[in-house]
Amino acid sequence: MKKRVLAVLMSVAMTAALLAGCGTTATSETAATDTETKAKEKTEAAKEETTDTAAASDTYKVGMTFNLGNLTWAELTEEAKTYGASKGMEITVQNSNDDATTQVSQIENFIQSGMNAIIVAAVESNAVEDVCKKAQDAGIKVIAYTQVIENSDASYLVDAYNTGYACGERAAKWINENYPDQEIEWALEDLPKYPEIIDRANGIKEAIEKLAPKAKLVATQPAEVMADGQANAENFMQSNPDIKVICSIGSGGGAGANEGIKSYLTEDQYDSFGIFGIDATEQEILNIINGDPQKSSVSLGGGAVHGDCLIDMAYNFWQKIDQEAEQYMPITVIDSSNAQEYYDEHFAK
Amino acid sequence: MKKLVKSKEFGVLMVLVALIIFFGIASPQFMKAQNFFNISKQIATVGICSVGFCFVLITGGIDLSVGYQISLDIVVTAVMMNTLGLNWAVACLIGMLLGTGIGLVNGLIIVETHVAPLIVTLSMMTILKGISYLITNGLAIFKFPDAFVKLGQGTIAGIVPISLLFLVAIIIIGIFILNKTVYGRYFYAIGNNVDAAKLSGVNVKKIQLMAYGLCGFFTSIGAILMLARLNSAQSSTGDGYEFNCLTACVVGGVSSNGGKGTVLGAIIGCLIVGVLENGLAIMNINEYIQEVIKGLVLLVAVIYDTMSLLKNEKVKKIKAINVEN
Repeated sequence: MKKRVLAVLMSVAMTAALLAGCGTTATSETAATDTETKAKEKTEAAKEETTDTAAASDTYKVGMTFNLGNLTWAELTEEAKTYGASKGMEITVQNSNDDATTQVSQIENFIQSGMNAIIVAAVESNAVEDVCKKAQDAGIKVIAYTQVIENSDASYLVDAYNTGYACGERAAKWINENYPDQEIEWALEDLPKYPEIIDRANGIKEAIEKLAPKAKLVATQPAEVMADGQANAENFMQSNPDIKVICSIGSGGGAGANEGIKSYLTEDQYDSFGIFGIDATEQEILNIINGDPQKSSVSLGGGAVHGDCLIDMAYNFWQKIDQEAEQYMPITVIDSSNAQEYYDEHFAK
Repeated sequence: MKKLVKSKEFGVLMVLVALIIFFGIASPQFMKAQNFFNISKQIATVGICSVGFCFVLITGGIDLSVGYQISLDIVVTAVMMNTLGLNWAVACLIGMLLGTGIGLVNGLIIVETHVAPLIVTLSMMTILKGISYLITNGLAIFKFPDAFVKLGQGTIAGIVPISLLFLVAIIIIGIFILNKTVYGRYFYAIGNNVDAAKLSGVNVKKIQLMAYGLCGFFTSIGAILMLARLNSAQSSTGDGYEFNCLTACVVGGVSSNGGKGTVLGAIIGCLIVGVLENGLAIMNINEYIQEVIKGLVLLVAVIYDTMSLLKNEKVKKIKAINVEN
């Protein structure tokens, strides 16, 4: 009896949870049940596009698949949802969890649920090519983010080498100002498991090599999240206590190294050490404003700006507005001279 | 000395000593006291969580939700401090209560429904992950009171990390519970043979519940220390820690089938992983080569430990036969 009551209770709870979770998307669920017909209609509609179709559509559905474990991307999707809604678009975000198989399934589901556009931050660009082709065949616009996808209609890309170069250039400038004509040691936090990131590391290395030739790269370790950056900084200082600069290909490594180095230095020594990151997250910018060892970070516009830009690209498809197929993120170095201004513009609530 | 050689942890301890000697020779920076304190800071969270994880494994269970327990504990504690402006000590207390609560819910579902712990905790992991991301929307919460950050980053007399003290205290508590209390013996009894334990009058449900509750409690302490160390809370923090704990425990001789293992063994397992990661990083070894070496050393550690245990058991059997004759 007890078990039966438990079973009934659990069934009720499960149904309630499902209803609560799915209630808001009931219309799209209904649409999904009739997928084949809808997909066919969509294809035809896409093929017979006329100038007035945009005005005729009431809403435009956009699916986004991103790894939400990435801070910048989490910020991006939040902004995209808000900005998209303000433009009359319906935005659905799925967490790819950094898994290519999951991402392919999510795109398949987007096709089934009748999206008008799909924005893909590809875990692995080759893995999503086929499913993106299917989306295009169904009349769906595919927008690639950060990585080039062969079967896409537009791309919002990062110039990885020049981003890294900007980081390295700022680091070299700091080295020349603080340790002129001295042979100093520096360390690099890279992330070679992501091919698109490798060029960032190359850019950093080549900039420092060229602009501060006396600086010697003595250690390299990968950093993806803050914990990696923090442990790396501790290990760098242990293996090479004379290191004066750490450059990182991302914000996790930069902000993590900042926390790690602080346990090695007293506050009056913060000016003698430089950490240079990329991504310009709120935490990194506050580190710069507070006079921490972190001296700069390279902004690629920031998650919110990217969110707006991607939604604008989808909106242009909806409204049949011409746009460039490849657009690039802006590269701006944020240091003590413009950190406050950047903070006020991007993060002040 | 004989006692040490015969102890269950001797095999893995030798692996740890061999690693320390190797890295000591390979890199002069490795042997410095500061580096050992670095290692202790780097393994503090996994070490503390592994103590709780070890209890669950010994009772024959498993808790795959540990990683996202850390995530939710961190996020909730951070929200309490930053968004709600609560005193950091109160926020930590709430974080610990939450962690213990999650552990107890895991235990309750397992003992009441008899669903396999693997399935229950796997489902719980997904639930906790979802809740954690719902709270943060994937964004970071950061900058906490200095007094709180000192728990993870501070030192005593400028040398000994405060997190090391927490780790040592938790190890002592863990060893005490497992070796000096009746509950510890019940953990082993249930892990060895749950039916026999039941017939012997052990309240199996209560003890299993306690194991999961303790696991949640220790996990929350590890999570709070991690939050203080990072000075930043993200929902992705803690992802995969269940496997770090499992690796540490299994390398340290805690049986994944239950009934065998010690807290000390789990901590030695933790140290092996920590020393390996630290030593390879100090030697500036390529990331991919590091993965291969780590896998190989862990494999060798487990094989060596298992073989030395088998050898000990063989010797015991021969002695028993000799006594009988």
